[in-house]
Amino acid sequence: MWIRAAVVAFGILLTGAAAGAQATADGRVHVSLALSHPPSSAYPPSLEPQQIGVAYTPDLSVDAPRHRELLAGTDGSRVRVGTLECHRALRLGEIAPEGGDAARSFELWLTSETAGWALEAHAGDGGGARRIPLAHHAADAASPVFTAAVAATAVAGGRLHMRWGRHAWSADFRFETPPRPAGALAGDPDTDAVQSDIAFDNESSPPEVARYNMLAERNETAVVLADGSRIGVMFYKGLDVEDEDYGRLAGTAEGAVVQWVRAAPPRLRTDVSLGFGRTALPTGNLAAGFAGMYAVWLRKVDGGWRLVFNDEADSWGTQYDAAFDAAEVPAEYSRTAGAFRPLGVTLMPTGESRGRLVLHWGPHEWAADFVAGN
Amino acid sequence: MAIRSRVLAALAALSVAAPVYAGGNQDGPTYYRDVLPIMQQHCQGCHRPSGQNLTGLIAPMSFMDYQETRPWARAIASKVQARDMPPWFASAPTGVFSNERGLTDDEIDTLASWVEAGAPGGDRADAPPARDWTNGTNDGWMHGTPDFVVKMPRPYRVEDDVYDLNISFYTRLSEADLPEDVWVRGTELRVGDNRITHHMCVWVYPPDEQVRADGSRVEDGAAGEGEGATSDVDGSIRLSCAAQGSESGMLPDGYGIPIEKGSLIGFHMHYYKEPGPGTAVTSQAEIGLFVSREPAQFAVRTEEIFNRGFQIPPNHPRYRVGSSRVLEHETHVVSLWPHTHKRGAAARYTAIYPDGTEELLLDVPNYDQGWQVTYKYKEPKVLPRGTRIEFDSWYDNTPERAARQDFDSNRFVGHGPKTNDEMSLGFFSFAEAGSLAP
Repeated sequence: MWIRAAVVAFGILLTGAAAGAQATADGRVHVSLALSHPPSSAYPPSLEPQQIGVAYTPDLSVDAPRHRELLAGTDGSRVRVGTLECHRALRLGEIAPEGGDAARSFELWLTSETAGWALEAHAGDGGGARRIPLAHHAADAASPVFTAAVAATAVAGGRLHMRWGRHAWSADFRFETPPRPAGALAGDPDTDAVQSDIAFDNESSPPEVARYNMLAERNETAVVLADGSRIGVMFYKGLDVEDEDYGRLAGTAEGAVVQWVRAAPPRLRTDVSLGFGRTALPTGNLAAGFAGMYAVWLRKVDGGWRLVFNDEADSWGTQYDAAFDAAEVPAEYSRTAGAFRPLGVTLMPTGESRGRLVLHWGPHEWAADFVAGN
Repeated sequence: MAIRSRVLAALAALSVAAPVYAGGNQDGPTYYRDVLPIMQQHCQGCHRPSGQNLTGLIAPMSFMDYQETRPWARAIASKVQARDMPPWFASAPTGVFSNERGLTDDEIDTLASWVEAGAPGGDRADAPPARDWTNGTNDGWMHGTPDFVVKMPRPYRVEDDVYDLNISFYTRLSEADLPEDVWVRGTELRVGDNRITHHMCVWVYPPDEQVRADGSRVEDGAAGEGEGATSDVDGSIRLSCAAQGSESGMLPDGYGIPIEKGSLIGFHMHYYKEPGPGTAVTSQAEIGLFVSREPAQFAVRTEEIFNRGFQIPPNHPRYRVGSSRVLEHETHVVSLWPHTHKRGAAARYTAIYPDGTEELLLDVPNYDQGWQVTYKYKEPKVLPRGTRIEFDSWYDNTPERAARQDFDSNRFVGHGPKTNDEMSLGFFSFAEAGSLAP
């Protein structure tokens, strides 16, 4: 049964906007985050990734009259900004975990109210709007179009970011154990028998199986551009600030890369070439005609940091080999006091074909801007 | 299965294409005087009648006497000169593994000269005494008569339409099987029908593990991806695995695997065959267990250093996948077993000691999925606490290899349970110092 449930989930992954590995172009930008629990700690007993995604059209400009009205903070104004798709275990504002196998989908409206900024999430299920209060602050730089991103900030939680004009909003979310669906009590011999076999008809497992296994040990941040091109980074889960690897970060020698003894380095896979300043990161670096794939390392240089993209995309975190370096770009370093985030990576769109690659770990943050299709 | 068939076909072709001669120079090497001792020492361990050949998964022909050996003479010479036989795939280290195989240059020359001379039998009186592999009454088990044998609860029919199937079976140890808790010092697996078995793994689960009426284990489903991997169950222990070319064996003195009376034995089978009418096969695997007369000093378990998040690029000639594990205690490693699938081309274990020095534990530069060799230390390798073991595997996903091994090279490949999926698993069997309470 759990296998069936997982396969259902895979179908959701593939067809849904939130975390589809083979997304199709629908004219919208999709941002997503997939987190997964250890196999035995979650109910139902599967490795089904816990996902959240937001899809929006890339042309929501600040200039439209209704948008201007909203962004001026006019009380009661509201604009539909996109859709939210999520795992049923998500808790975000008034969106609460619920049972069932299906992913959940909501229309998102950004509202300005007397009480402050909020998102209204409409499921079309007769349950009314779920309100998601938003934290708000002035953005450092104006964003001419609406953008959104989802970042991991904890083992089973993260933060939804949105920017538009001079505004920046955020809301924290987490995945919780959803209520058990009736008649599916794990470990109860009287209920549906658990299959102990897998028998697929073809010679190889479907691609979903490999993805399922990847997400058993890694999380994923991804962006699907309006043309369907997908950019994703898988990063090891569970490297928190109490991990020995984090302790080694401060001891990284000048000129050396950060080593991860207990993890593989983050792995970038992109359907489209990326430009980091003047440095190009092409597709086809490992297989002509296919997506580009790189390990992402952090190098400490001259008191600052650089991102290193390496062609050995699946070496371990202790196996950096400079002979396979493909590109190296400066990383903008910042520090957020009081942050205890596990190692995470977030792809943050900053425009229709622009984005920011951000690595974060505890209070540390490293970022580099890119242009897709460069 | 496909690989084994091709090897057989190649061997047969070699023999047919170049038949040996009946005569020969009797001053040169003869079978009875010169060849048989080599066969006894290096070949008959596997090349014996059915049921005695390393889990029944390899050694498709017997070389017990001249009549059996002679038709294969040309193939034998070819294989030993190429050092394909006896099968041993590690280039380093040498001299540390108890099951290390290989022929000396003189032995190879003897076999080659014998074939060149027409593979003569010679004088029977020159033959050494026949080697007694069966030990009289042990029913063909490699290591003598097991103290007890556990079978799958029933023969299982792998139906016509099955191509690739992972399935588990469970047998409860009865009071008659095992009246008291024991230490197991060795195991020997028999896979049942070797034509359809990709691998089998046998686990032991604590007595309180439950099985449904349909034979499935209640906790199944929390286990991973249907590989029969069940390591997340508290108290479960992997007893042994067998795959093509692998061998069961005995643990060093003082080392053992605990089994409680009333335990549940899980048979995790991976069947793999061509589907189609008339291809159904019924099979029933079993495990022979050898009990230690003395309590063990060290409890052995088998785990893997793994990376399940990789993606091997299409058409890549040599793609590296790495993984690592830090030892939290002083650890006595008793064996290593690198495991990949069809694209696996090389594997390596390296120890990085706490002081930063490195030692190559095992280098397999020409990995062959058809030979799942377990590299067993003569003496357990002691690694201090804090040692990091790195396991690397390299993959050849080129169209050339795909043509030989029958897979699709034109796609990304990740970890999965099927033979055409891939794996990067560095198994190691070990005991931690202090693993038993005094």
